Amino acid sequence: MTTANCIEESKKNQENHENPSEKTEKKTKKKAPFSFMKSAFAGDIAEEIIFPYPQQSKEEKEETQLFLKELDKFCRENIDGAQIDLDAKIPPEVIQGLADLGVFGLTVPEEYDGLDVSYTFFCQAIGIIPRYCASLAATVVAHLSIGTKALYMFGTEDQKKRYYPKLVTGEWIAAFSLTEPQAGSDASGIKTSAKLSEDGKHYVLSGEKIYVTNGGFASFFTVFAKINSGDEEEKGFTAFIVTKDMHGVSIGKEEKKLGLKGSSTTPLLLDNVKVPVDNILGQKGKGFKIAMEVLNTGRLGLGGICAGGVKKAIEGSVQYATQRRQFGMSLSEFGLIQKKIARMGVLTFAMDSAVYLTAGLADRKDIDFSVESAICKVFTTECAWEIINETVQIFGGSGFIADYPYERALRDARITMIFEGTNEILRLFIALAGMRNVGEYFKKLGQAINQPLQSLGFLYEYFSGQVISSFVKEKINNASAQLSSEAAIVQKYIPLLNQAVEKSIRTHKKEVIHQQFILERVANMAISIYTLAACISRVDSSLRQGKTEADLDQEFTMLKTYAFIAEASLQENYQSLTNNCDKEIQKVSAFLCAAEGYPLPDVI
Amino acid sequence: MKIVVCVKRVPDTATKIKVGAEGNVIDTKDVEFIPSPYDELAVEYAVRIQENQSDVEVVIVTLGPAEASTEKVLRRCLAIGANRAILIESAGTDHDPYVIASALANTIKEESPDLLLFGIQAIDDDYGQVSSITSALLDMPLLWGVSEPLELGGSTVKGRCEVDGGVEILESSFPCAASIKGSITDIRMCPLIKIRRASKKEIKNVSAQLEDSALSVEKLELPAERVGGRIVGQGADAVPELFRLLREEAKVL
Ligand SMILES: Cc1cc2nc3c(=O)[nH]c(=O)nc-3n(C[C@H](O)[C@H](O)[C@H](O)COP(=O)(O)OP(=O)(O)OC[C@H]3O[C@@H](n4cnc5c(N)ncnc54)[C@H](O)[C@@H]3O)c2cc1C
Repeated sequence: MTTANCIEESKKNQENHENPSEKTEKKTKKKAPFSFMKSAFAGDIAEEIIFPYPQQSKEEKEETQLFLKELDKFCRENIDGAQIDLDAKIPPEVIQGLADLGVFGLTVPEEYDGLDVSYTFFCQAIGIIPRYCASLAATVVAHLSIGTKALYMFGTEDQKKRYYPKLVTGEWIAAFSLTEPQAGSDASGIKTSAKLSEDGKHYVLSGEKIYVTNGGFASFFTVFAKINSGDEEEKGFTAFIVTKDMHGVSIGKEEKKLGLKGSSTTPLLLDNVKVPVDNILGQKGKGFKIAMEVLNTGRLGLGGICAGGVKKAIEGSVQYATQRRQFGMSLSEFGLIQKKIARMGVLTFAMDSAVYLTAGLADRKDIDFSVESAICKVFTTECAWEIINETVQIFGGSGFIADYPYERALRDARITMIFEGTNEILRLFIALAGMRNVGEYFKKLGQAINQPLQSLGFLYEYFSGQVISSFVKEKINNASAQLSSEAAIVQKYIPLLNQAVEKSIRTHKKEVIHQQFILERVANMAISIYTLAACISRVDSSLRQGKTEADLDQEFTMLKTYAFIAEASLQENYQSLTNNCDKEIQKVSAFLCAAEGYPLPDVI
Repeated sequence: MKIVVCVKRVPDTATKIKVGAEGNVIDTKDVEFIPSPYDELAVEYAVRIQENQSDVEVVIVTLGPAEASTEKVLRRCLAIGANRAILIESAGTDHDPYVIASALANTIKEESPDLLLFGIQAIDDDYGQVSSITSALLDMPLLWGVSEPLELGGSTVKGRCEVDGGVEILESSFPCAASIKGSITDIRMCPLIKIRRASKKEIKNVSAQLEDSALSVEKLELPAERVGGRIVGQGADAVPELFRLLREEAKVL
């Protein structure tokens, strides 16, 4: 996904939001609220979207808890993560056990014998698996979150009837195949082609896909290809269902990897594969939008995995730190270790808060959560990396030794910052998707400049700041009084985010999409704002349920600590918009690239 | 055939127990509750009977507070496969065994089961008396401590019961009661679809006039925290000191 793709993606998501599915439109009748973060970029605090913090119904909560217990027990008794890593293979009994529990039906509609659970349920369930084996978690989400997701969202009844019976039982494993050797982040550059056969019954697919998770044993592939056609509508790319039994499908060699060794990653080779026209997912030419919507929910799922998985590392860290003694004291008595442990806890608190707020938004089905899910992906994958890295540090030498599970955890965690959209690309997406909304506003302003007389009032208002303050909410009214100093941080930085965005659009106009130093800072501000707002809303809801500040001592302390971390990051990113060494950075990078390495001689 | 299984909710064995402010009860705030494991086995066993015979209904009866945590325990039993559940509402579960047994018996009487199952004891207070008193109040013979699946005939039940130092083979006519030991069956994995089906099954709340407990808990105390071992010295020279400490500090000699 290039920068242009980011904008493209942000547009698609907006279109999607503007045309909510008919079902929800009928049900709610009301115009769906906008996204919390996209509003924030415009300086508006759309607090009604995030307050109160979403809650599962009593029945759903009960169902979730009973299932999580069952899943946890199964994993504890049947999964040997170290062995799976060594063998680079997940035993079939483990897959079968998960299938028996109903895991492969979690995201299948009930009419196809699935369980169709909410995102809130889903994120919790897949947060259990990585505590035992991250390779297995990747395998499961590649099937559920991305492999079968386009079928769920865009499949026809006929397609669902054909494929769900095998997918829901785990008999068929699914994969999602977008990446190609020349098209990774820049997904629009895929070359796999689809040509309509002369009789009009098939598309003939040819091309090479790489890095397909589950490739080695999947039977069902969601494949993206470009239709060779002069038709404008069909340009762009299209999603196809390809099955392994189709003539011309072959699977390349297993890749050897740094981590997730138990998961399968292979090329998928398509050599004149005849795919029936009935196997097109969604509309022709709309494949990019489909891929982005699938990844949108996939990223939220990855958030669930990271937020859940780190709890195992924390358990290990705390146990070791309280038992291991050096200098006559346990490690947990040393300030530097306490700092690590506390930060693990606080980041996890923020990860959970953001993921389950976003899951709740996703469950409403009438709201755009694309920026929020990208925030969750970037934030949780980086927190998970930090937490596992610090776990290795707390374990000292043992952390590095393979008898302990943390070197494996570190290897497994690394990929999360790369796949499902690299964190660089997602930062650009967060900033640009937010800016696009503000950009629309500027367009209106552009018209005003062209028609000065009629629009004088409008311009005057804008420059005096009245437009903003007339339709924008600048205060959080919903948060309980005890949370006012944390809410004040969000209240302070949302207008500053808006100002930063407006200033950069004004300065750089269309070129703003190439100002990556700015975009990154804007994205970092958005990440801190959203994660802190999520923590505030979460604690606020607990207060409103009748708990007292004393009951919530742990939550309050974590919130205060996270607010401190978030504020520091906001300050730093905001200040470095104006006070930075970007020019020097560009120059140094250019020196190195020109020298094809480090440019200076070794110092004697 | 109708099978009633009595189930008690107990704190999860993984829960860190805290003593409440009153000093004689467990602080149930933040405590996870589970069906007492022997009771859960009795439910599983009843469901297995149901799977192998036509026309068996399995009904769960519990006594406890009408709150989400009790309901969750019942849902768990319904997810294993029981058909419906009855919750006898009471403030807590810390009554004496006779009081609990009479409340259970009153409710069970109306159900007139053919077979009444209990776990051999609850794992929180370990009284192990409720099965005996309840079946006595209901005038039902009790097969106590059944360790293997019952032989269910047309009109009789035969059970192998483990007693101290031996085995008793008991036979009874229907209706009859049995308390179940750990070895009778094992708990199977419970797929989500069964959990979901359980959410639609009936839980009936009934109120109970509980008698006053004759037995009351005076005080609960957590076991003293274990302190690590200590090396008092080396070789023969250390022996007198070791004896002194064993006598004076550890007070074991
Ligand atoms: C284990 C594993 C499993 C995978 N599973 C799947 C799967 O199931 N299905 C699938 O389709 N793909 C899968 N992938 C592919 C994965 O999604 C891509 O590797 C990822 O999108 C990055 O693409 P790339 O490798 O081509 O890197 P590039 O796109 O070449 O990126 C290289 C670096 O440049 C940065 N970069 C690129 N463009 C920009 C820009 N515009 N601005 C700033 N920085 C930029 C990137 O952030 C990255 O740091 C998998 C990969 C791995 C390793």
